[in-house]
Amino acid sequence: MNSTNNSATYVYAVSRPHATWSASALVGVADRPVRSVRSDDLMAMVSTVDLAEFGEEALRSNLEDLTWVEQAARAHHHVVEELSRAAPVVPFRLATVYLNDGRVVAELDRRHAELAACLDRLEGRTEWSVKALWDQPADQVDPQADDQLERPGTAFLLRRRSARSRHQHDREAAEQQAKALHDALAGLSVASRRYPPQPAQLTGDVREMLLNASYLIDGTEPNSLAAVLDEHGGSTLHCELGGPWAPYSFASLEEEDR
Amino acid sequence: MTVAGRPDRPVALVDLLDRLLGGGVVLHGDITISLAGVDLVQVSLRALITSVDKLLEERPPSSSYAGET
Repeated sequence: MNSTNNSATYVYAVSRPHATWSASALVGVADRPVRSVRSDDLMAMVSTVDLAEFGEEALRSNLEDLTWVEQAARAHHHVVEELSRAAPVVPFRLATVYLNDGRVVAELDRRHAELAACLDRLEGRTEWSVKALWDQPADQVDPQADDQLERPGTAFLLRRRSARSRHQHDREAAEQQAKALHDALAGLSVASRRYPPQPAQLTGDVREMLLNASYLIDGTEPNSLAAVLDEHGGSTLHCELGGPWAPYSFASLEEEDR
Repeated sequence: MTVAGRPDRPVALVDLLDRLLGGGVVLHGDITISLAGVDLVQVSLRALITSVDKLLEERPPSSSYAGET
């Protein structure tokens, strides 16, 4: 239980207590040690944090600070990863903070059935990410590129129009291919989830992202997903498989928005 | 096909934020209840994009990432 009003309890994830794993050596957000809070057969991994850093006002501005966000995200991820290696885990969203341990216990009790069901659902399963980038044919990368090379004339304008329409046609075909890829991957998965494609600005890759998704599969080997990627990837789509991830994308409770 | 995310390569922050902010169980903690009006994903992505923009502005144009494949 936190003894002062200056501290709060940060929650990383919920799991079930088990004999072989201990939080003792783990360091979490703000370099704070990680410990567990138990209630019945559930265990929350938590750290005591300062309200000066994780209180409402502080969080509001810290979330605008990329350095802070990155440190918190990597620390949160590290704890979740370590835990997920040992046991099924329900990761919590970044920056879930309670006023004290007692409030965490109360939440574990209140949502016990849903948390337990979620742990059961995720047991023995892993999340894999797939991104598909569109490899445009080299002669179409920029239909406007030769604007600077010659003056607009009829032949030029026609050529440019035709390049643009070819570009659009190819892009639509690539989108269809990305959708077929997603459908095939989803068909092999227990669950799937699409995220918005990441802008080129953030990926540092000039190729347009057409698919950004996660798939939940039975077991820890993504061979079936990899086979589909080999089949669908190629000259048009460049596919990347990542993981295993802790099941961030599939940790949802029945009545989440209650 | 590339398999990423293994220990030889740190997880990209943007992939992490997709999942840590777009996924995970959303139980409104005591603090986040009062932050309810704030979309964490939006706020952090805005921070990310602002920082990337700054980074690009600081570099001479010739070293931008375009075409370096």
